[in-house]
Amino acid sequence: MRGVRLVKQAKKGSKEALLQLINEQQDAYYRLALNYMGNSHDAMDAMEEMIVSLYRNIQQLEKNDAFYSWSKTILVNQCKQMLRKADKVTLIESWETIEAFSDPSAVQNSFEQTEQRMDIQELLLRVNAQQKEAIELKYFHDLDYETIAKMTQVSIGTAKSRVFNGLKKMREHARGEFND
Amino acid sequence: MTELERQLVEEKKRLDEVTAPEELEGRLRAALEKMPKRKKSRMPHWVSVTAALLVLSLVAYQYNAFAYYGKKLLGFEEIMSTTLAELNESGNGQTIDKKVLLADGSELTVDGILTDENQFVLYYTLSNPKGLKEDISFMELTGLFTHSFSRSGTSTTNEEGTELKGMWTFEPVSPFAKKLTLEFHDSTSQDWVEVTFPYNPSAAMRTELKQSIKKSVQVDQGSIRFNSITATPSQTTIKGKLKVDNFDRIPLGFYGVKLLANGMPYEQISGGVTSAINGNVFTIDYDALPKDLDSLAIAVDTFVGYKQVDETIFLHSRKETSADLEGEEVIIRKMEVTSEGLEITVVTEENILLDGVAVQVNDYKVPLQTTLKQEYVSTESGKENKERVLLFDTEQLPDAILIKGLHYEKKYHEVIDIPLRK
Repeated sequence: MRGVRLVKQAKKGSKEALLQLINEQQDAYYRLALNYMGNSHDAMDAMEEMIVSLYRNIQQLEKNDAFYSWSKTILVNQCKQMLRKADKVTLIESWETIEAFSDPSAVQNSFEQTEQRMDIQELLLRVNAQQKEAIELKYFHDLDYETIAKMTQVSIGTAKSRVFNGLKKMREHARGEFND
Repeated sequence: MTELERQLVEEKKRLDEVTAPEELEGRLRAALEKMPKRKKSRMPHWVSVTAALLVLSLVAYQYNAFAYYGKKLLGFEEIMSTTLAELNESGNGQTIDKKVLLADGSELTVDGILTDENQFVLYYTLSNPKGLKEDISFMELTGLFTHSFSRSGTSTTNEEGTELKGMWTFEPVSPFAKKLTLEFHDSTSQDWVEVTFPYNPSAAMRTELKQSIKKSVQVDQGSIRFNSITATPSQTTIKGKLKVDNFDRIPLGFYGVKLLANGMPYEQISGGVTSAINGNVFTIDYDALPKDLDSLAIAVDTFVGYKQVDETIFLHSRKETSADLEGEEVIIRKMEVTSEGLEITVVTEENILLDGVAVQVNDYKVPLQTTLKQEYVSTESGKENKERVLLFDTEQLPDAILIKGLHYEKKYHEVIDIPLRK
């Protein structure tokens, strides 16, 4: 495989090989970074940081054919670090608590009565941040559970159940629109 | 494929049309060009290994205690944080190597531990040549004067799905414990399983700094008292007491409280608040401190605040209206009367919670009944906004919306110096 040969060269310190490896999936990296950063400028910054980190650490990569999942994990970590620095990260609790009087059953009702049509992005706002992240990584970025688990620093089992439970919740919200 | 999955695939197709900007490749190349060329290892491997063996045998002869040190756990590099990886690299771990067979035929090996006064880190391997089912969740560690709950874990599985390497952190254990019992749930047998292994407290990493702080910062609705700081090689923990009435009104927590080591800000990596008899007790964890420490301080950059505004926003038209509440923007996006009542969509910055909200309808004041839904919306400038729908028990469109005050992320910029005892 051409990729593996490039990884070997990159491990020996070839910057050109590393650039080629990234180039092959440039759009996929970019979309992944965009998913987290929300704008093109920050997404490109994150990728710059990523390539520097890859160059420094590529010797630690054990399995050459795991280059893409490894480097994407580094990219996601990079994005999260930048978001934390910008104080933009939303704490998990914020999805559940707040605004003193909110009552979950009232929330449900309002969805059923007022929302006529929900597109998929709207449905994704109905699940918690971790489930949303796992679903996006799996379905929009085509990543396997092992990689998702590493990116989100949980076990594979947890990653799977986040996707599963998230989809379940989305189906519940979409009830009446599609009949699964 | 279900309908939902089909929609997800459709959405992926839509997202896939996004391509990287042309300038990206050039920027990546430039970023890489700036990096110095990687150095090759200077000595051939056998030279350094022989040298190490020589030194080791000399030192080991001199110091009996050395037997407990110099343990490096192999195979866990991928899941370690930078700080833990460095500590492991320099041989701060204790090897345990205790095996136990689980009900489904998998074998659990407690490979080793890394301990100090702030945390207990456990490294383990799960293996089964027939394939592993799932990771283990550890519950707690017990021993003499020790009852440490697990905090978090992470793991990675090999491609064949036959071996898993994992790491789990616990609350620190007592220096009096000579034996530790690890408890976990075996999902096959649905049983709680215990593994006991010896523990050598003297091999725990030494605490580098432990000082009382005993200083408070006044915030709008109370005070934060910082009691102590404990820095170990793996982590730095600050403990204190919290008496702030509106602490949990916005999801900010201690994110705006930084630790300044040699002037460099460190951000919270974890933390928690638990209720106690008189107020709440909090801990904030930061990364390990740098080796050459000259100065240490805590900076309360931002924390939850409250300001009374007593503002009336008149709603003359049904168009979007915005108001400035002493520097904080509040947008009234939409108003409609539904079968539930009057629904008003209000947008503010993410860390703002409106307080004392009511609407004015024909000289009557109708208080907020409930909040129907709330979501975070990114603006074009990359800011995160909070959009919620407020419900009022009336069937009429209001003349005005009244806001008494707001809980918000306030800039305090208070710095507490921690004088270093040397």
